[in-house]
Amino acid sequence: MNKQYFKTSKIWILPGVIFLMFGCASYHNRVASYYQKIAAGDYQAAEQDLTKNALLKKPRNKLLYLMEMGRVSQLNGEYEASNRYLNEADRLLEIGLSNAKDAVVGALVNPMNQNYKGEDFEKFMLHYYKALNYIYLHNTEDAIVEARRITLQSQEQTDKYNNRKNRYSTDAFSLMLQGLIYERDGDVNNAFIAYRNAVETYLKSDDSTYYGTPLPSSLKYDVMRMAYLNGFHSELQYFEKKFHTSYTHYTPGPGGELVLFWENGLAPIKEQEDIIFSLIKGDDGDFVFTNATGTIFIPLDRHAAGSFNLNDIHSVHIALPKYVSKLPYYTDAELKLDSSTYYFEKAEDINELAVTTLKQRFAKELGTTLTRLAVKKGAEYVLKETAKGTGKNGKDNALLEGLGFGVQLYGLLSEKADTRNWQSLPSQIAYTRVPLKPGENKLLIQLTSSDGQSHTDTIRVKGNGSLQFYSYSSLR
Amino acid sequence: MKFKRLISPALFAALCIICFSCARQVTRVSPEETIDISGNWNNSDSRMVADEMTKTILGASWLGDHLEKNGGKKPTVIVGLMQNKSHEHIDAETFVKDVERAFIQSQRVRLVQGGKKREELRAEKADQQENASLSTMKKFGLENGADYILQGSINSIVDAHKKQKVVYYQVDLELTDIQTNEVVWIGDKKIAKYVKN
Repeated sequence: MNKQYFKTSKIWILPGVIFLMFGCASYHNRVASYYQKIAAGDYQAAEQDLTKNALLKKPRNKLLYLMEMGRVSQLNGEYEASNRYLNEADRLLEIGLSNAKDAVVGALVNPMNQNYKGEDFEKFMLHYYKALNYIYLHNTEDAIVEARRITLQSQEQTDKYNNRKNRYSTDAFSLMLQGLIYERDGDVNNAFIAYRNAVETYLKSDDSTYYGTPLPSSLKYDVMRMAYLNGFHSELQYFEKKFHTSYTHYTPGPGGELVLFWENGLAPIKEQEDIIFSLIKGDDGDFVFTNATGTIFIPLDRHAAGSFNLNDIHSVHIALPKYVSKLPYYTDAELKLDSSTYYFEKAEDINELAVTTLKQRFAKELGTTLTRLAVKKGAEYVLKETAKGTGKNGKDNALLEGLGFGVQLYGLLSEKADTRNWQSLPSQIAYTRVPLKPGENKLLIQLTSSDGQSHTDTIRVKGNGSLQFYSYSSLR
Repeated sequence: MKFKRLISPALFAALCIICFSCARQVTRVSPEETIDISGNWNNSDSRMVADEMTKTILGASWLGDHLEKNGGKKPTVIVGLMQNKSHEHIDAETFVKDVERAFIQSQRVRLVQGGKKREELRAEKADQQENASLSTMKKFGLENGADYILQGSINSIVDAHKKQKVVYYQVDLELTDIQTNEVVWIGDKKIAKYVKN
C-alpha cells in the first residue's frame, strides 16, 4: 500500500461514515416521533411534528408528506386542508413520479433515494379519505367524483396485473365504499354496480375472502337491496341463491342511517432485511447465488458473467424491505344506540394487504436490487481491473485501485432498502350500519383490548334522513 | 476488457429504465376518432350508440303516425330512466343528450324536462310564488304533459379466460306512449370487443 492509496481511501471514508451514521436508520425510526404521537392520539402535536420533519420535506418524499399531512389534518377535523394535501398527492400520482433522474438514482444509489411512489393500496386509501372529507363538508358532487376516480384506480390496478386471479388487481373495500357513496346520492343503479363488483371480487376466491377480509354480510344485503330497488329481479334471485338466503326489504326510518367506519391499529412498518448472497458452485457445475439458509437460488448467467474469475465475487449484501406488523391494542368494538347494539364487520385488512402484496412482488424487488448491484459491482471491477499493470513501470495503478475500493465501499454502504410507507393508515377498517332517529343520536362506541381493558367514547350524530358517514379512529 | 461483458447487460437495463421513463405527452385528437385503449366503455361507444339512435328514432314510423293522428301536432317526449345493468359505470347522458339534441334540431319533436331538472324547475316555480312579482311569476299546472317517454337499458356480457376477454354491450332505447303503454319504437346498438393482453 502506498501513500496515494491511503489518500484516496480518505476521500471515501468521510462519505462512508456519513452513510453509516444516517444510512442505517429506517424511515420509521427517522419519523418515529410523529408516529408515536399518532398512536397516542395526540394529533395536534403530531401535525406540528410532521410540518417540522426534514426527511419528509425532501422532494423525493413529497407524496408521502402530502398523504401524511392529509391524514393528520383529517384526524384533526381540518377537512378542507386535508383535501388540499390529498388532492395534491392524487395529482402527483396522476402525472407520475418516475423520471430519468429517478431511474438513475434507482440504478446507482438505492430505492430509498428515489421518489416515493406509493403502495397500490395506499392509492385506494387516498380516495377513501378524500371521499370522507367531501362528505363531511357536505360536498356530495365531489364525493361522487371520488367514487368515479375509484373506478379509474381500479381499472389501472386491473391493467397492472392483467386481472390475474391471485394478485391485488382491485380493492374490494373501495368498490364497496363507491357503492355507499352512490347510495348516499340516491343513485341506486350505480350503487348496485359498485356493490356487485365488490361482491364479485370476494367471490373470485374459494372461501369468499379477499386479502384477509371475508365477504361482509352487510355487503351481501346491500347488493340484494340495490337489486330490489332497481327492480332487477333476476339479479336479486341470483344473489339470493348464491348467499342461500331469502331477501326481506328494509327501509331506513325518517332519521336515515349512519355508516360508521372503525379504523383500528396502525399499518405495519417497513424494516430493512439484509441478506447476504454467496456464490456457490451448483451440482451441475454452474454458479448460483444463494442466501445463508439456502432457500433462494439465483443461477448466474454465464453469458452475462463472461470470462472473469468467479472467485473474485464471494458474497454480496443486498437489502430488501420487509413489513413488521403490530397487533392493534383494541381487538373488539361494539356500538350502542339506545337499547340496540351493533357489531362491526371487517371491511379492509391493510396489514394483510401490505404484507401479502410485498411478498407477491418479492421477485421484482429482488430483480431490481440485483440489477443495481450488478451496476455497482461492474464499476468496481472495471476500476480494479484497469488498475492492474497500468501504473508506472508496469505496476498497478494505485489511484484507480483506490477508486475501485472506494466504489466497493460506496456499493456496500449505499445499499439500502426502501422502508417508506404510509404508516398512519390503520391496520384494519371495520364498519357497521346504524339506523338513526331524527334529531340528536348519542352513540356509544365501546372498545375492548386483549387484556380485558375497555374504553368508551360518545359519538353524536344528527339524524337528517340521509345516509351519513363517520370514521372513528383508535390507532393504538 | 473482459468485464465489459458483465457490465453491459446491467448498463443496458439501466439505459432501458431511463429511456422508458420519459415525460408525459398530451396530443389532442378528434372526438370522432376511434381510439381503443383498455377495452372498457369509451367515447367511441357512446358516439356509435348516439349515431345509431338518432338516425333511427327520427326516421321511424311512430313520428308520422303521431302527426297524422293528431292533425300535425308535434309529439312531446320526456326522457325517463336509463337502467345500467352492465359491469361498468356508464354515463348514459353522453348519448341520450345526442338523441335529445336531434329531437330539438329536427323541430319535429318537443322535449320536456324530467328527473332532477324537473324538480329544480318546480322548486324555482315555488320560490317565485313568494319572491317574484305577480306579472312575472310562473304558474303551477301549466306544464306540457309528455305524450311519450324514452327509456332504456344498458347490458353487458363479459367472457374472460386468462389473457383474453370478449366484452359485449347492448344498449336498448324504447319509446312508449304514456297514454296507452304501447311501445312505439325500439332502437338498439350492439357492440362487441375482443381484448387480448
